[in-house]
Amino acid sequence: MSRDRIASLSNPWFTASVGITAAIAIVGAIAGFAWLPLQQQGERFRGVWDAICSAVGLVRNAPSGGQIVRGDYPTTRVEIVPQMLEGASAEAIGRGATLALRCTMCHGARGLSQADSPNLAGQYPVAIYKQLVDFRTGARASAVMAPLVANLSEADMRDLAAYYAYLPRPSDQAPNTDVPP
Amino acid sequence: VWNSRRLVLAHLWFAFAGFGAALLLGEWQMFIRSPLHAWISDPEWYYRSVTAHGTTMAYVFPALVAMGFGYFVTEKSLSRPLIGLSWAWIGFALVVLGTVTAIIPVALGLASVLYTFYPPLIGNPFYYIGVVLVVVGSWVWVALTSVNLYRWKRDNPGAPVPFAMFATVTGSYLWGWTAVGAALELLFQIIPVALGLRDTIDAGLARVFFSWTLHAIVYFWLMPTYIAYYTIVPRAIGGRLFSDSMGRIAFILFLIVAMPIGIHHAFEDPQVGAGFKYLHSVFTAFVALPTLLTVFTICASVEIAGRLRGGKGVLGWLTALPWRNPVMLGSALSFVMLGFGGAGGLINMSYQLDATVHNTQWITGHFHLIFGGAIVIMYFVIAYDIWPHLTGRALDSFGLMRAQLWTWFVGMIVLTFPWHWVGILGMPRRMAFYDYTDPAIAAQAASVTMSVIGGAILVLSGVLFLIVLARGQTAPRTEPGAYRFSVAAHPPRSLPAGLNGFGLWLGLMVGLTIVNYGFPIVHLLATPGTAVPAISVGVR
Repeated sequence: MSRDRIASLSNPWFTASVGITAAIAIVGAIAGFAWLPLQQQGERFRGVWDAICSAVGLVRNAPSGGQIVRGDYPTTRVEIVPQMLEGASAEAIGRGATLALRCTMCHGARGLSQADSPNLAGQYPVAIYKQLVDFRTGARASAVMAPLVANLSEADMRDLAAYYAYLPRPSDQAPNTDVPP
Repeated sequence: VWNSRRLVLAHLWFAFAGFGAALLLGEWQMFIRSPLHAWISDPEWYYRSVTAHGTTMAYVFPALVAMGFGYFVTEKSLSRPLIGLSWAWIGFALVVLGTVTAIIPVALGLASVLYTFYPPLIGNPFYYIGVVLVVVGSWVWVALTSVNLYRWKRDNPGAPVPFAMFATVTGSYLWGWTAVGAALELLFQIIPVALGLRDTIDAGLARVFFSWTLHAIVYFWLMPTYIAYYTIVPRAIGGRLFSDSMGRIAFILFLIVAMPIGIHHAFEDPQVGAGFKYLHSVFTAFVALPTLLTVFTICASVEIAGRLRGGKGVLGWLTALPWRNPVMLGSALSFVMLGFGGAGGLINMSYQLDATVHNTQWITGHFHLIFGGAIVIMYFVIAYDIWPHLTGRALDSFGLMRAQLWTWFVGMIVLTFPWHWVGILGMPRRMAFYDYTDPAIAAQAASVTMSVIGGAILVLSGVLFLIVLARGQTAPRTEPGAYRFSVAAHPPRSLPAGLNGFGLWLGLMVGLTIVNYGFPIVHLLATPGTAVPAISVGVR
């Protein structure tokens, strides 16, 4: 079976196998890239080419001239990336502890709430930081929290996050018996 | 002509030792996340174990079985000494070295990324380097298989390549090309990040590369099983292979339609266009063709055996079959599991149905039933069949073998059926802890417990398997006679070039890969802003 004999139209094995495979691929492609996308309800394609571009995975631009709708409510500005807020210094934790005195009434003396407010002890620092920023920007609304965070600086929020992350979390093995089952 | 005896034994013993260890890890995982055990409090241990279990079971174990059995078939079917014996030992050494290199960081908790890597998770570089070494070692086998075939063809111009060899070469080519996807992902994407040369990774592109490997690797696992169906089963039960040509066509079809179809593993991924997902589904559906061809051919071959043994009537041949023969029993149980597993696979490959089972325990149940069940039970059968030829000693614990095969079958069913069921109920996979006191999942506790029992039966069966092999190693010496493969009802005297060579089929395989993967890969490579920060995993 020499190489030139394989890829030749006079070789029936070649024509049959390549022909059948190509036919399946072509029929599958027509169905998958054009026919099925055009059958989708709710997709507003402008012509077949637009449907094909969508089906192959190209990112489509918004329709020109159309109105781009933006939400009229604030969304979070925090972008969480790995290793964010890691390695807090002892000074940061200390400053956070001082700032946290004003949180104790609801969140407890050491981050364990007696008032059904969330426990903050041992919480991930990015989680604390994100909530504080969201309360400040209005992405998360709370009549209680909003005035408390209004005057916090960026550094204050990072320090608070570092302090609560530093506190030991309630043991997984011994659930808080104060909480009703 | 028998110079690879020690080589094959080394492959199989290392494979089965790894299998035994990974089996215990699997059962431990089932246990600690079941209602029978309290929360382990550190999920890292669970993912560490899953990584070791998956890496051993998915890469090392089947690669070594395929390689060892492949060398055996090469030498026995071509009836001449294996060419490149020292290269084969180098390949084996690479696999062993790679396994050790990979498993040390996993054991230390430095690479709990699971065997499918899951970028942007990044673990210790030695884990990935170890996996690459395993793949490179297996490529040595691919090359040697090819060299042996072409030397034989040169010396026997025009003669039909023995069927067992033809099938083995198909399996090796399938693996050679299949492994390229994961190798590209590891070498160009993951390892540079793991070494600290880059700190972002295009996770979407990495997943597309891995899907290239992820589906066809299943067919690579399947190859030794299919080779055993065709070349061992009919001979062992006293029948004939129904059709030699049909077998060759089935293997060729696997080469073409089993390879470039992996994007159905990325159905829920947004970075691949829906059209390509559809195209891959279409070709996935065509895998039914070689599967059904095989089911038909093997059933027909078994019927020949039943009738030769005096079975009469429509179903009488079934009762005339040698059911006490481990090969007969094992392959029948394998077929049952293949049927259930294949039915589940039809659901996974359907875009809409997949959405209901995606990332649930259904998927884990599915691949354990197919791989751990239908495929691995035939690895046992292969070992039982060729062991006397490897050791030169009798292997006659037939009762123990039957008990082992039955316990494997029962254990696998008890393990995977409840697993599928909780998947339908929505239980997610890859989680270390489930709170069964939560009313939402309390109903799943009984099914999960049942799976743990299934796993325990499998451990028992695994121990029985190793006992049978160890007894074979210490039994009195005997002369096993020449090894024979099954003979076709009409043995081929000459074959058309298409059924005796691979050029055309390899061309189609590569061409179809370019059609099915070319655009998505180039598009993702060319799209800016797709890289995400890597997340390092490991004990700190």
